[in-house]
Amino acid sequence: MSDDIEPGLELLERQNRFVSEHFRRIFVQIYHLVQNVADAQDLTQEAFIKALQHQEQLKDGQKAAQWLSRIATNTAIDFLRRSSRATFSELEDGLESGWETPEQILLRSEHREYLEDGLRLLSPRERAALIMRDVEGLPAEEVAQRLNCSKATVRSHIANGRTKFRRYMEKRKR
Amino acid sequence: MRHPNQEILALHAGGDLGPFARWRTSRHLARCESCREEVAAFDEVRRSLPGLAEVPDLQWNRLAAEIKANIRLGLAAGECVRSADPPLRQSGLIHGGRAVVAFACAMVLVVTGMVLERPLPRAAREEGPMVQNTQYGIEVTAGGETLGLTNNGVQRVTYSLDAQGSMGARYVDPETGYVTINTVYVQ
Amino acid sequence: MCNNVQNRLWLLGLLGAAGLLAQDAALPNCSVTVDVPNDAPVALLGISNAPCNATARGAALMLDLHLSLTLKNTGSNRIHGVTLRVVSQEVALGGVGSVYQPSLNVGPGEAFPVHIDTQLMRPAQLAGGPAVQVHLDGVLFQDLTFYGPDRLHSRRIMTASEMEAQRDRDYLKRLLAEQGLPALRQAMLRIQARQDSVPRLQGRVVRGHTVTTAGIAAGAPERQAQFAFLQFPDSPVEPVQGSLLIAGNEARTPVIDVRNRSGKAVKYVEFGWVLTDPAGHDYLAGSMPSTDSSFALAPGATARVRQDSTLGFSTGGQPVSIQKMTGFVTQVEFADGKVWVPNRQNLENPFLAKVLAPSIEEERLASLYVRKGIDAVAEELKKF
Repeated sequence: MSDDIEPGLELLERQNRFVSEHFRRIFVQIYHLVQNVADAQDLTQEAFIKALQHQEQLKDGQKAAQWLSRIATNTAIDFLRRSSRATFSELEDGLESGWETPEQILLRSEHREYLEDGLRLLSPRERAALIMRDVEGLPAEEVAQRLNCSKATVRSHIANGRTKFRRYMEKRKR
Repeated sequence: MRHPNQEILALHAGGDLGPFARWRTSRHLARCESCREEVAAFDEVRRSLPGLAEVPDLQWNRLAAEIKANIRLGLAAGECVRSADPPLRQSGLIHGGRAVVAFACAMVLVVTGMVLERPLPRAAREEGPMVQNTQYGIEVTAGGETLGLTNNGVQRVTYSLDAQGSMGARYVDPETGYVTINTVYVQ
Repeated sequence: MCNNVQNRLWLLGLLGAAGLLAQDAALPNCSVTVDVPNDAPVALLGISNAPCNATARGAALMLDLHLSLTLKNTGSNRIHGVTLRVVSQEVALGGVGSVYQPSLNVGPGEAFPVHIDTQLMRPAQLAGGPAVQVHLDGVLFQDLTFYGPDRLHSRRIMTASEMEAQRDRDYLKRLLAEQGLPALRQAMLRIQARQDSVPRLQGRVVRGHTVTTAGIAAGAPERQAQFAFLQFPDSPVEPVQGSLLIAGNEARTPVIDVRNRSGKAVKYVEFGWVLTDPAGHDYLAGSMPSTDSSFALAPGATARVRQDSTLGFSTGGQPVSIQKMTGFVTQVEFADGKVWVPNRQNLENPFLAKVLAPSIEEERLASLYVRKGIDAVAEELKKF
């Protein structure tokens, strides 16, 4: 078998490697924002397509990862803006978990729905900022970079997000 | 006593204030129970949110394969569009060669999309009967005709290929919990 | 053995109109027949309604087969496996199909379900209505005795599966006894992790002809390559040498010489293959059986196993180049009907551990864990 690989295939393999290296991280990042597996899959594809159409940006590994994260965040935020429909319950996916009894899985699913209902009250950027900060634990600087805005703006999004969510939780308690 | 506003308290709960603001707010909280309660409420918000971090248990390999395939389609479609002479004329209509390219690319996307969504039988170029596994299940091809045997949406299917000419698909029946192995033999 | 009197159930499935894509022609009726011999140790108690629906999908006819059989163990032994042979005009395009349910544990007088739940697709222009026949091919009992016509070699297949299942259950029972439920839970989680992480290949096999694929294989020159082998010290046979032709992502006409180092005659040998690509990634490619019905390997003798077929491999729609193939013995059947399978120590070889999916029994128990928790798994183990 010849060891020569056609140039087209070499590019394909490079692209495949790039996707393999980052896809899970990007998928999870987007999933955290949209809370739906099917949407996360579509948006992950969209984000990679956008990234791979600008090959020159991918040469520096570290910068490529950050740049890709930013594209992913923006793609998810654009989606949240466009879609006004409710997010779907992940009950079926939850059943795949290997750690819990069926009762625990159901409780966890109800809790997830409760949280998702609260998130819907936030603007896309507030939602993204809150999730990146309080779910993923990213520092405010990183959140600002991904959202391509200043730290002050990020703080404002985070504060608004927490305030709105708190009001929601208090209403649900009554 | 002047109290910090909601925004300050919300940020303080997450440690998101600058050093001076954090110090000043901490001093106030040491003396003000109602503001402490406010911060505690914001803490509760932060404690509940990590429930969103959980990602469902997925078939990552399969997901990666699907995503890669769709990315390739998307990149190919992008190449198709770029290969037409830019820019489009302001009339908004696509003329001549660009129309052919654009239409051909659209058809490729539509057909490929249909194939990915609904696998259709296709004529095989191989002479002997052939069996193979795809992302949808098992396909048997003979004499130019193709039969597909899908797994009916079952997740976690393990395929086994036999050099003699058979393909097996193994999965756990979600209803009964029994293992089922479907095998197709090429004769 | 089957006698001439058979229970036969004729069923007609009505056509489903859902999902039609601009089809004006009337769709043919589809029918399902189920044959269970009168002297079989199982009786057919019931069958689901509307087991077969045909729907037009463009140029294809989609047959939804939702056959749920209720069988009853009418013998005096516990049943551990059932194989049904499924024959249809459509599947006969390329052969027959089978549905095998291993790891059953059905006591005398108990009823159990067998689902044939699948979709068959065929070109709409095929003449005649779709017709599916289901025949009982074999029943395996707890003591490894067997009933059935065995047209699909289900006796050997089910016996090997049952021995593997016993092997894995014994291991898990020991684990539970020595280290308790936490260790059993960890074992279930490890099985699930393996299910997710094992690299998967898409494969195709053609009898006797070259598979023409776009990509690497189309332009790749053919070269002869030697098999590498993993040896299991306790295996009754050992692969001596082997070769195959490799062209890109295709493996053609594999040949393996095997020596019987046991004291008993051997009538069947099966090898597993691990494919290594140029980047060093390993995949379980498939298996290679000795299919010659006259295959007989006397103690100390050497014989050749050969398959006149071509296998092609891809992953994610992309061809996987073959750099190397490694073989290992997965099954041996002796002339007296006894079967050998590798033990757990053999399979814990680091090279194999990363490519082998969990066994049938491991998968079943891990699924039980997900659905019902670790206590259910412990209870299940006690039943065997």
